[in-house]
Amino acid sequence: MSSMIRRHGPYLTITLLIVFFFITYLFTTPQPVQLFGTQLVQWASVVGYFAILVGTIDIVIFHLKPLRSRESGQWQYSAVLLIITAIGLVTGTAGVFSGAGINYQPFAWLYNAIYVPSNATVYAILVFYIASASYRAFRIKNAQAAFLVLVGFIIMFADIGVGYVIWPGFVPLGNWINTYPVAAAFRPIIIGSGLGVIITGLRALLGRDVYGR
Amino acid sequence: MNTIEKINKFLSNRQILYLLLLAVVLGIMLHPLGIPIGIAGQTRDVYNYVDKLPQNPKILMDVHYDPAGATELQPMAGAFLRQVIVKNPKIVFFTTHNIGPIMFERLRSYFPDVFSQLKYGDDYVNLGFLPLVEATFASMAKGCQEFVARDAYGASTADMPIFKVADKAADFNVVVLLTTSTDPIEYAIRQWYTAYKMPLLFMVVAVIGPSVQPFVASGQAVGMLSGQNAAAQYELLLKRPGSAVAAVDAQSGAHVLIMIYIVLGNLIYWPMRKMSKKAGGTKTK
Amino acid sequence: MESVKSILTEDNPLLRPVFAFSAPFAVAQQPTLGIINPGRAATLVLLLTIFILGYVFITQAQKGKKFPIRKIAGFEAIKEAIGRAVETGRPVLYTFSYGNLYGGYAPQFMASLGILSYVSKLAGQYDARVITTFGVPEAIPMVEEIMREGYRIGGRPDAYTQNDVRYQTFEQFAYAAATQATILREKVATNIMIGPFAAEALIFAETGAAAGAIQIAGTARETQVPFFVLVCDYVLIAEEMFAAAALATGDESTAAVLGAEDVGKFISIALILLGIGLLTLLKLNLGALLSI
Repeated sequence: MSSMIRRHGPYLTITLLIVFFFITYLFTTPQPVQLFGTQLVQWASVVGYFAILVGTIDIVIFHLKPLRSRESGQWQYSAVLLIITAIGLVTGTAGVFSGAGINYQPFAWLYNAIYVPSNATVYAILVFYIASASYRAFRIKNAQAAFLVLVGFIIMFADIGVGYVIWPGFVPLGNWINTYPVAAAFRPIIIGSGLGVIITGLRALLGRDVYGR
Repeated sequence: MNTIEKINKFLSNRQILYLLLLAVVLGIMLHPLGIPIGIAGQTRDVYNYVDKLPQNPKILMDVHYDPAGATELQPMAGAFLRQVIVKNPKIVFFTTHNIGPIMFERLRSYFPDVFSQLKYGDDYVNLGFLPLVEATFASMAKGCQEFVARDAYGASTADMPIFKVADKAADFNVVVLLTTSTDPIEYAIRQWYTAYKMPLLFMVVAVIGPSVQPFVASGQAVGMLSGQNAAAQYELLLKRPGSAVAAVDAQSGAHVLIMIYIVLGNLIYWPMRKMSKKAGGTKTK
Repeated sequence: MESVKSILTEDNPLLRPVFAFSAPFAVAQQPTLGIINPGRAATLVLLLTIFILGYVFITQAQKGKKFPIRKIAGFEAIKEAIGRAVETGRPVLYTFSYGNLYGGYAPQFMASLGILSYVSKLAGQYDARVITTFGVPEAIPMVEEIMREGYRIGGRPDAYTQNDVRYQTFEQFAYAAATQATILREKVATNIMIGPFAAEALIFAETGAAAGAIQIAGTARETQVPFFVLVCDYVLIAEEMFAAAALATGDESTAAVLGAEDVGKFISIALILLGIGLLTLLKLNLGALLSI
């Protein structure tokens, strides 16, 4: 009996919770049931905070290993990561106790001087990659490719001032392309992905997901 | 190596392309060209929608972006706030992105003209970071004050006057979502529009604009601003050009360089293909 | 047509709610359909349909019915790509993005883990080195277990190295920079990217192209599909990823539920065509009807 509970208990609990959420979402339920559902959703948010904590602990444990074993080519990066994590934790905690929160000067400096430029820089790298990818990929090998390049140019001209100077009609034309053909092209992918999510969820509910087993 | 091959080698060199791109963008940022900007219908629709909001509108605003998206989204947020401030709004700010609190503080520091006209607790409140996006949206729609006992600065929300008029889904005139990702868009559609028919206004980065477009086209959102160009257009409509307008020239320069490369690449492609066919070699890529 | 139109008017009490809904909604004035919450009847019907179909198909699969899946080029290419890695003596990189297992993209992570188990088995068979990078903290033990099992089933349990399971961070661009560095430093021969990628998609794809790797990508995030198609050799688009996961695990019930998904697609197509017809011919908004 206890092995059955151990094996099936978690699945059963989660399935029951999911069925409960379905019922409260789809059907009109008495007030106490709705209040319980609201509370469960709020508890889910609390779980989210703990998940962040778990992730941080995981990453510290993960990077302590190469540091201890002085793994060649890796331990220096792990050391930097752990030092930065420690500094962030210390300054953040000090900020909480000082009452300034995220506006605590050392913490804000760390953020504005290190995190913000790094984050923006890696994102900015994309423009270079888009340039090189576009150069390689936009080759007019056939009629479809020619059409792709033509529409791509119209959209690019619609998005920039130079296009407006050349012909103001690029702007409404680009807007039209984004509103109708592009939206029509994205809709099936969104619908397909949504159906895939429902199906995967169903499989998990029925205990038929074999991934990770 | 003949001329065509030399040109192909030059164009195929990534380092040269990256250097040229850097030079163009930096050069134009240092010496702006003042290229005119056309106003798209979608941006004008957003401007008109905000203009038609009633006096004392109640606004719920999710600052869901990181520094990467701030270049495009912060100007939009600032322009929106500048347009709506004349109506004496009540704004509940929160964020479902872990970097969001810092982004909100930057927003506040970049637009002091807006926030100096708002009284904290009465006219606006910052509820801080709330994890688990969809669960948060579901809870906020049922009641912000009940869900969040303390704001981002530790003050109790129980005594804040703003929540007497802006608390539950039915109270808000519009929900504004500033995001770099499609996840919050879908969650907002499910938890706010489908459940409560709350008007949603999306402000997104250009890369996700096309996938958010279907929701706008179907009427599930009242409008969308997508990308830095839309932000610049919005600033121009407000007659208060800012950082978006300043950056659009450089964006134009980068686009033009990429288009020149594509054209040259195609002009080289066909002679190269003929040459390799004559030589009986492999196809050029 | 005229007689049909005369029935489909506001005077028809059965259809009065439909015409009432054509006007913009006021939040406080949602009529209800008995015990079903306003605006969710269509959701209930569609969900129940797909759930029942899925259950029926799974039951049929358990009784031995086969649900064939068409050839998916990206999936077929995985074996060839791993073979190439073995020939060149360079590793395979497998990455499945960052995030968490409790969000809306969990099914994509699950599908990717299914394909990872297949990749690990092949790596065990061919003695290839697979480096897995990811930014999902909860997946660490799962990935370790999948890879260990995969190498064992492939016949080379000793080839598994825990150091090749590299959880980086759940911070998007930190994970992107770390994986990018891994691709270049390890000089990977094959770059397999399957998961719910965001902006880092193009970073990985271009870096893989610069490293000369053969690239197989798969995502159901529609915003990143164009970038993958532009750069990669093979792409699994949206539900092809779930189909590939079904092929990878070889589980018949996984393939069976794809049948239910296909029926769901047919229902969507039928609704779209019906909506277009109703709006064009009769000026009726099917969306309003489905919002009851």
